[in-house]
Amino acid sequence: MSEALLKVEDLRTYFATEEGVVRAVDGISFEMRRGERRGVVGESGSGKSVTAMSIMGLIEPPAGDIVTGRIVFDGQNLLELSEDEMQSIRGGRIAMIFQDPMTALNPVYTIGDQLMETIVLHQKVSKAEAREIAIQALRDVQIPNAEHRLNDYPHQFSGGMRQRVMIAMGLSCSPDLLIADEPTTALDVTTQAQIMDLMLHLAEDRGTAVMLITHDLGVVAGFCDTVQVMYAGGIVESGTIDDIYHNPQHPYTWGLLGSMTRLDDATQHRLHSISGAPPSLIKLPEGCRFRPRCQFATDICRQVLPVLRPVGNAGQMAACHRSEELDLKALSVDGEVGAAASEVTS
Amino acid sequence: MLAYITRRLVYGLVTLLALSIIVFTLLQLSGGGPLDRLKLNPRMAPYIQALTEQWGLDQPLYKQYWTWLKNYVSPCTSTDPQGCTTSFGLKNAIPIVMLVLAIAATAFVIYSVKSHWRGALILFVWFVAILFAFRNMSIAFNWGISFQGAGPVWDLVFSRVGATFRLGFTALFLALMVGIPLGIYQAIRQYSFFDQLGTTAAFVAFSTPIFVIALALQILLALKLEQWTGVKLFYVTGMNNPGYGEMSFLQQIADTLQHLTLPALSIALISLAGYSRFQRASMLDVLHSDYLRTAKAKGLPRRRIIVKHALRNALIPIVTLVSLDVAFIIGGAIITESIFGWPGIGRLYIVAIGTVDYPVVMSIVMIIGIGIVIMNIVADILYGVMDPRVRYD
Repeated sequence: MSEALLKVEDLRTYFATEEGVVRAVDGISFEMRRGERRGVVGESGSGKSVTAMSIMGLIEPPAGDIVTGRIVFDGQNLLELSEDEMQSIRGGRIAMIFQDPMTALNPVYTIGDQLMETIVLHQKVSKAEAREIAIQALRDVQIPNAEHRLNDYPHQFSGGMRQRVMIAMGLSCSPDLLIADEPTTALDVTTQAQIMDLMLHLAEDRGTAVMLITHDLGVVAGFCDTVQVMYAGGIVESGTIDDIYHNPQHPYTWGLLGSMTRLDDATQHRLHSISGAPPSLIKLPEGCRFRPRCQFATDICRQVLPVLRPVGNAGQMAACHRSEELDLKALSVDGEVGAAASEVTS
Repeated sequence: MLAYITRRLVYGLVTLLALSIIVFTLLQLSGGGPLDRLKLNPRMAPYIQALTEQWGLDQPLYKQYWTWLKNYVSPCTSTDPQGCTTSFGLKNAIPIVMLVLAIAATAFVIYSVKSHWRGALILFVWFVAILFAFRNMSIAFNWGISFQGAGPVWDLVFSRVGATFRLGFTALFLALMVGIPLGIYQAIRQYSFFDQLGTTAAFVAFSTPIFVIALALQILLALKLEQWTGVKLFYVTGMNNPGYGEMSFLQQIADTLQHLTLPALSIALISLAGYSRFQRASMLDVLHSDYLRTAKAKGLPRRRIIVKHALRNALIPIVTLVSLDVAFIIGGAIITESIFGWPGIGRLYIVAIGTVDYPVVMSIVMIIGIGIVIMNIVADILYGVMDPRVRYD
């Protein structure tokens, strides 16, 4: 393993609301290598996006605050940088793509204007050079007729095309890390596939590390090397794609995998769902946060919050007291113990 | 674009026609007649019949309306009995030519210049053209003669327009210069002490009737201030002191400002309270938008984010609001002008209503109507200039 590009240590990001303190991200730690493509999966409200916003330095006091933790990017703790220093990293070395391309671009400026703005800001180039770079960036994301489309306004592009523009904008300054926050959620399925394909190729060619935030396990399987599963502000399991999909060690991961639709599954049964709802982030349960919804919970789960620890295959981590005793991959989510669970995760 | 403007103008004409019919009917329904006051005077009795016939008050209503409409849109000619002081000559065509040129220039600018300076340019062209048109206005329309014996209505109205414009545009300028930045600043510092203070002040100003504000300003800034300091800073009536003509240039400016400040301030206070609320709301909308988050994620400095990405979007709804306000200013600040004895259209209007002076009331209502129709169209054009998503087809 090469040296870590991004190292997040015990990050806690809280939001103050009228009802109380929302612990959106509550003590997570992880590392990303250069060029690594990491999937961050979890339900809405699990802290995926807040993790990304924390890394980008877009959490704005007094609404939200990073209470503790370190975010070390290429040897620098981002949380100790001044706003000016952070601005040169944002958009330059760490870029971000957002969920809804329909609203993420400023409607009153042309695509070219918005692209060149980033380029001029982070690379010391003239306006004419920036224009050339912008045209090339649009060509890279396969927008036809790039030199003319540069003069068009966002409303003249379709959703998929706008997301391509966002990707072009994100990659135009050759960042080391690209954070993609549900980049295909707002797009239709065929466009989704094209966009993910495009991102995969661009990231591979340039060796850009990508943090892909999504709730779509299918997208993760096709794109990422590693996955971290988040639940209620914490990481419950992390490992390689293979580890997670074939040898889940946490009941939540196991439940998520079981609730995926599969086209190659011939048997007819209702889709599985994990019963219950995620806990309130203001009043987290004692012990394990997944415990109220977990069918394997015992006394210890009620009392002690499990920490992320190595279990299963090498490099795999899970936060569950019972990982060793449970053989999750042998269990079907439908509760028929001993049924061919491998089909679910094949 | 031209097709759009043409269509809007046609709709505008229909609106104005409807407006004139409604106002004419309302005036008839309001009871009392222009001659009622004269009838109280026994010595006027022999003339009543003659005046009734001369003013056409014995005609059926539809005929009266038709005569008014016909005269209202026809320029004066030298054959008109009284009503007209100037005749239509070649020189009178200049303002019309200027207005046509202004419209053509606007269309040209929209077609050729592809930058957001278009908006400023169009406004500039419009103002220059309209100003020039007014300065050279020697054309007159046959708007009839005031029943109060104040002479031809056209001359009467246009001798007052200057005063109304001076007051109205000063107030608008003040309101814009203070209200818009105030709203922006409040939005940026949402829920700060300054924001709360601004919100409270805006609601107080907005919900206070203008005559209360006007009287309070008169008492505080004119009466009390003079008692405390012994210096007369502001005057409470009129546009200038008598003897204005003999003053030096600097004295003239001082005298004008001393008279203008208080009435302009009373109108501006209410307008700026409104503008700051609207500007704050629209700025907050933009500040929470996704594209502003994108701008932040690009690493732009905060100042650039606000000035370049937020401001332009946040100003779009305000442009419409202000454009429509301009129309009301043309109509005159009726109450304020009365309180401050300002010789503008507004005061003329109040007096005309009190004396049932049909020609004057109709003329002023129609001027306000025309102003609103035109500024509506201008607002729509500006909207398209500011926002590339708006298309006119």
